Amino acid sequence: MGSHPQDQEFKFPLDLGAPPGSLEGRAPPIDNGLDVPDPSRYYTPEFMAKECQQLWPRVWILAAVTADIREPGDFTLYEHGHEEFIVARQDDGSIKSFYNSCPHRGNRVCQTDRGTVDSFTCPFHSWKFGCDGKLQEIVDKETFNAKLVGHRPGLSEVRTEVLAGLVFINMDGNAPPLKEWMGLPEGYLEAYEMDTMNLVRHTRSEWKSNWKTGVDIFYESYHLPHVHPQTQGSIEEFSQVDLYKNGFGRMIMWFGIKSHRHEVEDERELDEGVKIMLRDAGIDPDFYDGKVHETRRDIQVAKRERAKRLGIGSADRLTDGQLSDGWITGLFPNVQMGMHAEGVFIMRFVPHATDPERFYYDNILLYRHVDDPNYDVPTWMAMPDGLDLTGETRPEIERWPSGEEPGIGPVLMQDYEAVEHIQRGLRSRGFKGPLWGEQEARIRHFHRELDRYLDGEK
Amino acid sequence: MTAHRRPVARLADLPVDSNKAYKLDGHSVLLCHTKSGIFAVDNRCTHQLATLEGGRMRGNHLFCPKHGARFDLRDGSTVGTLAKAPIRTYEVFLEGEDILVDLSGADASMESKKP
Repeated sequence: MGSHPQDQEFKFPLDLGAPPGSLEGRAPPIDNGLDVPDPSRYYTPEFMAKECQQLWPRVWILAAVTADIREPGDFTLYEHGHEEFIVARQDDGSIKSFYNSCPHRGNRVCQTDRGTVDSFTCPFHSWKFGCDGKLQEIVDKETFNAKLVGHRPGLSEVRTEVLAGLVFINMDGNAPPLKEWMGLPEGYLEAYEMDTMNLVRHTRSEWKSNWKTGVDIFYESYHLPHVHPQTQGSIEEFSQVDLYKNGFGRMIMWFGIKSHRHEVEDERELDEGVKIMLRDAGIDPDFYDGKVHETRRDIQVAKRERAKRLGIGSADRLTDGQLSDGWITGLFPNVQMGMHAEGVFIMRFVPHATDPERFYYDNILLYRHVDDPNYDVPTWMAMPDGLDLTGETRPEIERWPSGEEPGIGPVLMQDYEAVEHIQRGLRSRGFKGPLWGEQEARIRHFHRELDRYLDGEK
Repeated sequence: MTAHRRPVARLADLPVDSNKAYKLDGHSVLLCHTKSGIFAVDNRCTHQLATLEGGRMRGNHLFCPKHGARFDLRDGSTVGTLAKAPIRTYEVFLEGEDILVDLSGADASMESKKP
């Protein structure tokens, strides 16, 4: 593998040259054909209803991260379409999930995003349930006929499994075991040790498009120089694209280097974005004497040395590429994770309860706290000041009223604005369906898998 | 000012990570001992008026044991969307092993003053 695009013929498809079979290695190609799907999948209530019946109940859905519910009694809610789930840590350390619906009259039993409790009391008539979902108390029980409540109705449980610090639920209970269903190579998620990171920020904003329009824009880096031109000096937009089984996929994005498309007039003139990334790695850009094509490699070396000095053991288990790059990882159907040595950005594309042209964009930021004055949060993570990085205080979910611009940082705002225009355009009578190219292979792979659920193949 | 300080409990009665309610002038006041100090607040949740005693604590936060409403013990402010109004806080002092509460000051800084 060359250290920079200009050291080799730089073209797509990109192959970083890592050994086949390794986590970084290029996955064997999958032929998903060249079909052009009907764009109605992005806006009709009929297609949305089909997803509600045939997709969501049958897949594993990311409902929580273990970092958010570390101790017995800790719980968090996950709202998905018209459903809502309570995900709670049990006394024995396991995790259970329940529909957040009181068996008495259906009221939402728990009405706060997260917390820690001994029991859940429904605010309507104070029926009380343990963290294990079991009924503990019916107020005025003697006024109920035993035929109605003799079976001691508790909260309805949802099948729950945990992998690599991620908590998944499966509504119909018939999905294959999570590990079998997970399309990523064995050890891929575990390598980042997400269970030892802290959840430091969680935002939920309403975006004006179908949830799949959201998935699609984040599933390719083809749009980077056009929607996010400011990233050209510090991120390479040609990615290694890997397709895995069951609709999963990954793209490796090089961070800390000028894009191959970005003109280099002076090989010692560094982009401001790269300077920031050098500084984040502990290199003073004012005294840096490397050339533009050496920055990514030097960032890797600096991070490796710093990790050794500070005793950050997790870095030993990551490749050099993982220290500098983003492994942008898609979990079918509605999650994409930007995986980095310092932290993981989890993006969840959550369908709206009733409107196929709205979705909720969840951004959950996991961060590995390093308690050392010589270690700072990477600037590009765009974390607002004042966040508790230690894991001591669990943050509330930040929300914005519908229509109000969310405070999610300038790069994500560019995507936020873009999806509205995409959504409006793909409804046009003149639009015949998406023409996905090779850089967009992950999108085709995702839709192909979606169709397997909706067509009854899966 | 010191006339309003009332001895309420002994330190030994209130281990770290516990809370206990005391009746003071007809007021139910909750003493909360967290790792960062001792705090005194009204023992009544502003969400649905449940007693807060027995609620779990994390960092500087207290969770109502009934519906999970969350409050910052330092100033009584709400965290999250469930409770709309803050809980009242009282200033806490330590004299030797005695925990004293000043019932007159409701809005002053509530960080406990450890010797």
